[in-house]
Amino acid sequence: MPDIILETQNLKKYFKTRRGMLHAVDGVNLRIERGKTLGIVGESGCGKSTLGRTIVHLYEPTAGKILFNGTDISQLKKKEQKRLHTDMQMIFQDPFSSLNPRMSVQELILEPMLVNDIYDTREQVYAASAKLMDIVGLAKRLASAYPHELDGGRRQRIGIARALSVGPTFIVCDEPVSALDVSIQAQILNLLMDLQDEMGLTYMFITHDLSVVKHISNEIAVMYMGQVVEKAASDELFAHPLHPYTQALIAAIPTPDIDDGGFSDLEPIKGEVVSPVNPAPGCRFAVRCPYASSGCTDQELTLKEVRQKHYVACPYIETEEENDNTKV
Amino acid sequence: MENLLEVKNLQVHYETDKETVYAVNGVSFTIQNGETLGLVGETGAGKTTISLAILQLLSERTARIPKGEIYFKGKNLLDLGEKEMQLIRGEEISMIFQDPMTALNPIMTIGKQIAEALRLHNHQGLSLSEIEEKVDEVLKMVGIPPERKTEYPHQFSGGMKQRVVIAIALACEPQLLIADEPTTALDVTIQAQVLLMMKRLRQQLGTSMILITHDLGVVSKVCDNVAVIYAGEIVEYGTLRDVFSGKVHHPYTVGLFGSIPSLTAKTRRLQPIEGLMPDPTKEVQGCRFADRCPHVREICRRESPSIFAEGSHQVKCHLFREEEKHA
Repeated sequence: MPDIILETQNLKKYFKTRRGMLHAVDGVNLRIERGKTLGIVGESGCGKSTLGRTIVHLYEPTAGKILFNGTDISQLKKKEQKRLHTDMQMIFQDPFSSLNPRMSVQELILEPMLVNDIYDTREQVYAASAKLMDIVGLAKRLASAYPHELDGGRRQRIGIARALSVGPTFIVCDEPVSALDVSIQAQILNLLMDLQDEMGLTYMFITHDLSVVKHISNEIAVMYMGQVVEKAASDELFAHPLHPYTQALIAAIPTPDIDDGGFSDLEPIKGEVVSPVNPAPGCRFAVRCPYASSGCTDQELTLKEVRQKHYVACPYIETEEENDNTKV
Repeated sequence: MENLLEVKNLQVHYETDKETVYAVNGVSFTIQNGETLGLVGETGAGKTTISLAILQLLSERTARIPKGEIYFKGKNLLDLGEKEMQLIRGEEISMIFQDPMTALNPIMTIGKQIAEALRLHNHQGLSLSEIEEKVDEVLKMVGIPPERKTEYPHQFSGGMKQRVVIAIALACEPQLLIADEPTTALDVTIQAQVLLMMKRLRQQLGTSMILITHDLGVVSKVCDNVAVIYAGEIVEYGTLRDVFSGKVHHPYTVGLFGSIPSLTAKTRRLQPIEGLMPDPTKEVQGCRFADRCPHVREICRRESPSIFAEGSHQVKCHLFREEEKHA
């Protein structure tokens, strides 16, 4: 049995808007194994950040369960939630707006430890913050510097130190490298992977960048308009993308490669994401899908296992067994 | 072929009471008719400053151009007055800005914004109805139904807004288009749509283009030639093939490629460039990349490297100069 640290069951998060219910996260079932990384990938507005925020309890879920270490945390009281925050942390996208500009680096790293009463004495807290700075690669001399004096990479290191300071086992990383230059991005990705190896952390890694998600994840879930449309091990997903949306996403990546004809044979998917307010039943990708027919919109679709540990929500993709049967 | 644009040893400094920022430090490149040049580099490398210098849109208060020439169709743009520049800007050279959300006027319909460009450069003496026809034509070209020209920017999605911005830039059929990170703010599927459209329009209209980006992937799909910029200098310059698969490379280019996670190869660790870009307010004696370079030698800190050229491929690094001597 795999050791599951986090599981969501039919998790939903709706927002009330003037035009109706916005289905930001709509029935997501995920499982994350301890010590592994689950990548959540999708375009802007697909609900990936809302999913992350709902899991760490920054939003109340509308329906569904979140099981953390086997217990349902979706209905916790305020006090119990606070205890949870030492186990679950989040790293935010924008290291420019997620840090209080009036606090020094050391104060920023001390804050979560003080709020959560992690240590008994001040000496212990200061020692811990010095150690954290060392772990995330911030020089000692920066302890009294303010965020505006630092570049994006260093600021994101502060964000990582703050998340680590309370000793979590599970971290939701919400686009942690999107605001960074590519050479700095690589430094931070390496740091996150080293920390995972050393501390046995579990990550849920949210990003729109497919090459980053492939690099860091063991398993990947592709989201489209609040729903997971495909889920598989990282290598499997890129080797055999099955859902038409996943295929279109992968085809649209401009890889730094000059011998692939420069996009000349690419047929980008038409149209754009439609409104997630009161969505029509059935497959939400149907309006843009080149293979769509009436079968896509008359039924609610669920993920089904079509290859080993490879799940797709599309009525036209048959399981391997079904395929074999038809061949016989 | 004739050079449409030639930038020669351009330097741009920003001067304030407190300090001088050395933003562009001796950049030279040429663009021929129909060519697309990619300017690649990270934040603060000076990419945008170069394009603003070409269009003479630099802040008059702080920006200085101590050295350099910018020839457009044989004329040095730096010698022209504001009146003459206005005839070139938007008409012969136009620009697409990075963020379509802020580049458009929120209280003007998109049709009016496109017509504005046509009206300001109306040498052919087009009538109002002819201008309207042209607006429809330009909108169709970028894939927006002309019926939508009476709508306001907020009624369009990000990808559609960027199409409007491109439509404005192309309305006067410029010979040179400067696109500053035109797809950075867009999702990957929308980016692919916009890049393909720009490629098609370029071929159709024969426009030359400078594409400014930090994304080597985008460069590989769109550009003919590439200039890699680091700290206000071109460190490597050549055809797409030279820079992507040539024999020798600048250590910074190698670092840029090593930083991108691959979709095909399995790499456990990325090979980032250690350290940060040098402080642009300090004048540097030797090579500006020396502090981050894995191959740094004593000469790198003392002397600014000269250009090592092999055919169309140029690399500004001491490393290859030495090898040449040994050989």
